[in-house]
Amino acid sequence: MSSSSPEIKRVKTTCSICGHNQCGVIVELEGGIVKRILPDREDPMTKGSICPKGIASIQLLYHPDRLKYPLARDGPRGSGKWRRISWDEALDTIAKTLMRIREESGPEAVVMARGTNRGSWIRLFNRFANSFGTPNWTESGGAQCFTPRNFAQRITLGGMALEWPDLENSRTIMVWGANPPATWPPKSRKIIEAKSRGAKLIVVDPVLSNIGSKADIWLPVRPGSDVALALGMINYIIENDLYDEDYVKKYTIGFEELARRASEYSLKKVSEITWVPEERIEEAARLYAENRPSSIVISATFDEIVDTVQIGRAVSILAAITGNVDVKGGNIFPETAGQVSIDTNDFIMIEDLPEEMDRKRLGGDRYPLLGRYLKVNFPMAHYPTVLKAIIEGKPYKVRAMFIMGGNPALAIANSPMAVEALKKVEFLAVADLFMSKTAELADIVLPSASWLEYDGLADSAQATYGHLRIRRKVAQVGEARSDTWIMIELAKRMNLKGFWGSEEEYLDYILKPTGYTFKEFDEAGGIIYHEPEVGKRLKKGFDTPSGKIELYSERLKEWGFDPLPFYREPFESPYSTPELAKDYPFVLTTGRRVPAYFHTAGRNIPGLRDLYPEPSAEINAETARELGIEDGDLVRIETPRGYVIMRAKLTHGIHPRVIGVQHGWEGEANDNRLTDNQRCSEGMGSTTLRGLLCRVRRVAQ
Amino acid sequence: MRYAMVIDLSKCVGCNACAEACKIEHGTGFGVKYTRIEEVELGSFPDVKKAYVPLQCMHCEDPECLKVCPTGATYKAEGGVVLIDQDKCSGCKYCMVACPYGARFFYEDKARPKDLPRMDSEEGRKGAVEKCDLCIDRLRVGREPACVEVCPTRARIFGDADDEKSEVHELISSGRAKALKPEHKPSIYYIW
Repeated sequence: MSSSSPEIKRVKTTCSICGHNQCGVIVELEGGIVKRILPDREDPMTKGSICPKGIASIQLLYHPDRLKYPLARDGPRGSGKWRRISWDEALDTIAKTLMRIREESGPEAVVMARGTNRGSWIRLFNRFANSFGTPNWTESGGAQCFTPRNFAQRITLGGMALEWPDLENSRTIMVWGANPPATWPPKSRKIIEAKSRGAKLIVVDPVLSNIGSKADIWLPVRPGSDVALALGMINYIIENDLYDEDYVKKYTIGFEELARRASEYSLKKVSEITWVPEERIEEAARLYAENRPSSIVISATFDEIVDTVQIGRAVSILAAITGNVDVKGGNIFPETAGQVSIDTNDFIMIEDLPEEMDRKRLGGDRYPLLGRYLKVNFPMAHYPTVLKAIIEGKPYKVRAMFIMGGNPALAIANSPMAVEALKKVEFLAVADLFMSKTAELADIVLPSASWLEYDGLADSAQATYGHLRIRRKVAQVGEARSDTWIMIELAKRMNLKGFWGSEEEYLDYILKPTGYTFKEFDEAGGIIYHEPEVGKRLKKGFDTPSGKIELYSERLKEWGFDPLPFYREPFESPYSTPELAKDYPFVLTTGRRVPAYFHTAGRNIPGLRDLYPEPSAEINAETARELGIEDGDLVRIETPRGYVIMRAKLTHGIHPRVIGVQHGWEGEANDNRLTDNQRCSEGMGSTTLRGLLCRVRRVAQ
Repeated sequence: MRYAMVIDLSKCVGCNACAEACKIEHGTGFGVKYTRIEEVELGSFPDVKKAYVPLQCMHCEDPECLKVCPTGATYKAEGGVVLIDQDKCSGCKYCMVACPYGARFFYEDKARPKDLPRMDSEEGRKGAVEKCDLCIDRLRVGREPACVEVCPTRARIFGDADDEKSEVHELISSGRAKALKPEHKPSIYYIW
């Protein structure tokens, strides 16, 4: 080791290993080799947050199995036989094939599907699809991540305030269905800081998680019953006059209707539904409403239960009636730092897509809140409906798929069906860092660059609040190229409208309103520090049709949905399907996260795998004793759709009738063998990943 | 000079950034974790308390491992750092039995999952016992240990316990930071 050696070069950049947090980091290089990745304590946005995935990115960068060159299959699909091809050949083949299929079968026969957000290319991907003319753009996340909760926040609050808890100024913090130490390191760091200065912490999670270990009040909600919990809290707060009457009068509409609806959710009833003790709900509601300002931290759980629009609505409403929206220490609204926002319908060129195509979007008729252009969200195709179209050829044929950064063979509900579809689709191109289970089935595989290998911007509003920071290229592996570069080069070959000549031109375009070129931005330090104004909407109105927070939503009513939040039992549960529950007596939550992995990524990184070597399932210690299961035993967890084998992790931090399983593992440990993609949430089409029924038993060791 | 580390358990969220930075810094083989995080639970559902407790070599003032080492491989360096001379270690593992904190490792490439490739940077010191050296090479050039440098919540505080102006001195002398198994006089302290 040579820490003192003078040849250490330090580069400030932003990590994008998860794509969501954009932690400011310092990369240390020795002799051009990346040696260390350190938190940047001076970063105005993330102030020193980092995670094992970011630190271990060195092992990802120099991994022996990295895809280094474009590959074309050299045998039947999935045979594992490949030949190295040039970038030109790879891009020409993809461009020609997609254009031919567009010509022969219409643009809708091409599906563009993305997964991990590796930089700002994600909205380029939408833009590409719209410019190409296909309505069938979708995401592994999609209806299971961000889209539903973003939709619910936008129609209720007029923006995504639940994504931005003002943790520095909160006196009470409520973390709901999120585990920031595993998935939101910057929020995790701020919560701990807030706790140190005396803030109170409420955590809603069926499992006592990393952040749960710091909770003053833990609400171990039955998986999938979150909406009832939120409505119970709303009702308690209204009935006991704990709401902010002045705020409600000035800034919201529909309070009387809400109060009537909420009155159906007494503490007693809600406690029975959620399995959370009454006094604990009461204590949490009181603390959140009284010890203000209070903020809420949410995450993908909101997008993975039976009613994903309702939970986002109910929790937005809870924040609103207690006067915690657009106030210091509450939930506030992000902005851009003045650059071109990629998170707009303008940027993705949705208006360029003909209206008839909007109507053709797969799943849009059944799930209009996801699949129709309602000027709220970015409309997208419904993944399960896409898979069905590939397999059955109905309502029309899907002939080609281009998947970037996604691994649907493992990552989406009912993954066996995804594999069937991937095998069947006529043409499959995949861009990724490794030969994933999805890439294995492709015709063409493109080697994507990791976050250390391209110049770019950390500019997603979800991740950066109002600051803009730079990402700097520090390394190059093989011929790997950024996803942005791939999109631009493909667009060139297809003469698509609205694209640029190079990556740098694209970055210059995004930066233009700031007065910088990318090069100048780099030289100027690569940071624009912009603190959005809190309370702007209280003065100027919220971005909703009424200009107020819409507790009662006329728009939802217009679109054919309940204008007020309500609770619905999961599709399968001890109450909705009591017969099934006799055979499958436990309530299952899938998708449990650990800090070392991002979805299906990371198991092949030795340093990360060492932290969590095997897939595990959380089981209540008392329950396990009754079932003869010891800590570390192999157990079989089964739903009506399939089974997984995992190691039992015994804990007292879970309800005796609840089981939690990790996600992202391969083979017999893939939790998406347990999930269903046929019964989806109303209007939005989310698959239920939390709140299923299962049974568990010890298997031969 | 006496190096000491105070770990504030109220700030540790078990994110494992320290454990990862340690693995990268030292290029340890699979299964070797100079620092690791144990989960401790108290109570039963729904009244449960949980803590994450980072553990590592405690750099004891009077180390049990040193007493049992037959070859003199384990020794004490400046600032009370306990080190292993890899060349002198015969791999007898007496020290591993003697260590009250389970902080020593003997690398064998057996634990590695079949599907996991090996990085060139994983040194895997075969045939000798290894453990946390408090990043002594970094200390010698005025840099903090890797685990301290990366901790996102600043749960780890490092310094010279003999320096009366240091934060660690204040935390230890005031009794806020306490040792685990204090009879061994460890240099790693905890706030809980």
